[in-house]
Amino acid sequence: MTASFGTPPRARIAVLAVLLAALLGVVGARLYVIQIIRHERLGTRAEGQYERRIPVAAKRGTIYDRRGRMLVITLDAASVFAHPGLVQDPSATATRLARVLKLPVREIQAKLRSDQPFVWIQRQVDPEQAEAVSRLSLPGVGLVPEGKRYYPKKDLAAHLIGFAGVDNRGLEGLELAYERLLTGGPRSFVSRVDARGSIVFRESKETHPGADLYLTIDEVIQHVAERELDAAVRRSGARAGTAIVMDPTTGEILALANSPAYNPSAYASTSPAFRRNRALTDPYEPGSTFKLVLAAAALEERLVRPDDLFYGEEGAIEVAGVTIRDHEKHGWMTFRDVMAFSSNVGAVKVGMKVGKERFYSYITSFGFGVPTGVDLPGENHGVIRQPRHWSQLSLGALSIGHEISATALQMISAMSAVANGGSLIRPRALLAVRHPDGSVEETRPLAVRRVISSETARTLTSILTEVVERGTGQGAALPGYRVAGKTGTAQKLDRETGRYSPTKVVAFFVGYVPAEDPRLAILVMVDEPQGIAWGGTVAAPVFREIARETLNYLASPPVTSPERVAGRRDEASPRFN
Amino acid sequence: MAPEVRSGSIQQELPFGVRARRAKRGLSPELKQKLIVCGVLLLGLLFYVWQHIQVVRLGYQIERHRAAQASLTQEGKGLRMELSRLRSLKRVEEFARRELGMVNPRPGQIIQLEEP
Repeated sequence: MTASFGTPPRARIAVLAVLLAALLGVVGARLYVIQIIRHERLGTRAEGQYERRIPVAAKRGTIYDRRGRMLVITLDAASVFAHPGLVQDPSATATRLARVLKLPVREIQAKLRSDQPFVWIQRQVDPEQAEAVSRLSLPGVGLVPEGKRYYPKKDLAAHLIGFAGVDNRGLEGLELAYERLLTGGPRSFVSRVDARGSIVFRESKETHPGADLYLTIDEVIQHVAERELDAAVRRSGARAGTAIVMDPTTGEILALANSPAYNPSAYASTSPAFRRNRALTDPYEPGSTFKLVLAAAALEERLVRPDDLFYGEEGAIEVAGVTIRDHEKHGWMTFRDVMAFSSNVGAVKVGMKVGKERFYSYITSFGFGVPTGVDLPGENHGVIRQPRHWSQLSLGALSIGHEISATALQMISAMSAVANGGSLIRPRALLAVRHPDGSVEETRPLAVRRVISSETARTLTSILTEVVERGTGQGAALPGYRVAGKTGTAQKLDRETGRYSPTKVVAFFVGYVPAEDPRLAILVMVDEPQGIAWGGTVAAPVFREIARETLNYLASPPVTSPERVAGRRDEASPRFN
Repeated sequence: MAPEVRSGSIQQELPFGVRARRAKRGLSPELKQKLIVCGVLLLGLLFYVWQHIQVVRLGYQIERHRAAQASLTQEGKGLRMELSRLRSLKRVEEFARRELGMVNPRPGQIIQLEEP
């Protein structure tokens, strides 16, 4: 029987086994190639066919003031997207979406007919609109949560804080300066189509949120500064204004206000001119406030003593063929009077004593001509020419604050150096960072350099208090406190004529209080006030009002001992929560 | 052959309980062992399936709670944001002046008290 088949059974079985083994080997090899070698590539390709990755804005950190009051926060808001390939009827879908989202039908249709695998229809819509879109259950259309920036205090400190765009990227202010800290890890969602044809999505992976920032500003002081500045700008019919409140010993900016302000939530509809942080982007000729630097140089070099006499030349002096005038005639006057009554003639004479090289050295030492290094973007360095480029007029002009441009921040930094006993401190807007792991990193004051001795600073303080007690700065006098400060009224250069305008001026007051133990350095600048306007009449009263309310708020009682003030400083310390 | 027929007829007439007892008596130790092993395996399988179902069920529960937590966190943040908006000093001051007729204190009206 077996012989009739020709081949022994065992041999046939062996052949069959070999064939089967070979086939299995081929299948196994193929499996090996697919599952092991090409697994990742094929897996990705397969996922790509039924999954879509949607990158969304990262979870951005919250911004608080120095006492932990919320200024900016990110909340999830729904964004509407579509996979055009999955949309069954683009026209009908566009019509229904347009009704809910209040967008032009044609615009949505164009997006739905796109050959892109993924398109945004509208980002960060209102909760009601999101609910309505969800109810429509349109095939190929979905909603995904995205971080949206909210500014609950509206225009408060808008120029300092800045804003973030629709992608949650910082575009201006601290939002831009601390982009790296504020922004969290990349965040995305994966969408896929379920059995019913609806789009479902899940967060692709856990990402770390951004760090929280605690700013040096205090909401109350910021509000007072903005309110008083706005009122002064309105009252005087001015073009713009700036007010800065700083702790002169630490360089912490307690308030930074610009008028007009804007709402960061509606930044797109605001003119860039309104969004500019004038306090540090716009350089001005500082006018008589710059006599502060002149006085510091003259006193430090012992070229002038406070009671040295200067002749006022009956109100006019000629320098290099140009007459420099005082706003009122003076005869003999002490150096204290020169400062108190802001005599240009006296200042020119002091400037001649100091000399150009020495004066230039103090100007640069006080930080003019270079950025202060504040942690805000867009800072202007101002302009100061080197002495070799000075004309015969330059020394005289610089003595009264012309032929130099400086930002408001540079001016208040210089005044703070006198207030704190002679050290130039870098201004800063960030107090602390709270990282996602809960750790808190605090910033520290940075002394750039010593510019004058503490003795000179004391002498200068006594002179500057006289400016307020009996001189041009009486509008800044605050009952119960000794105020030190300097007024300034600088004519503006008319771009059309190339000459100083007889009508356009910038009114300044910069000072500190209490003079014996300064807690606040305040600068007020009002740009182009209408009518007869001086620093002492337009800017000084704003200083007084800001100082009054801020000192009340900080519980710094009038006429106090340094010990008591030192004991109360803790009250303004930050609270983290 | 005849006794076999008889015994068959007798078996058919026996009540069920008696037959079962006899069948029980007739189980060999090996079969018993196998049955016990099978029983244990079955119980193990049931336990495995049960705990797997529990894991899936708890997984869904965790997901639901996680979603609720995320939603509540969002709501909390939204409420904090709203609180911050309502506490805006510009708004509070306007309300105090317009609705309550409040004014800024004049110099001398603020008295600082020393802490005891």
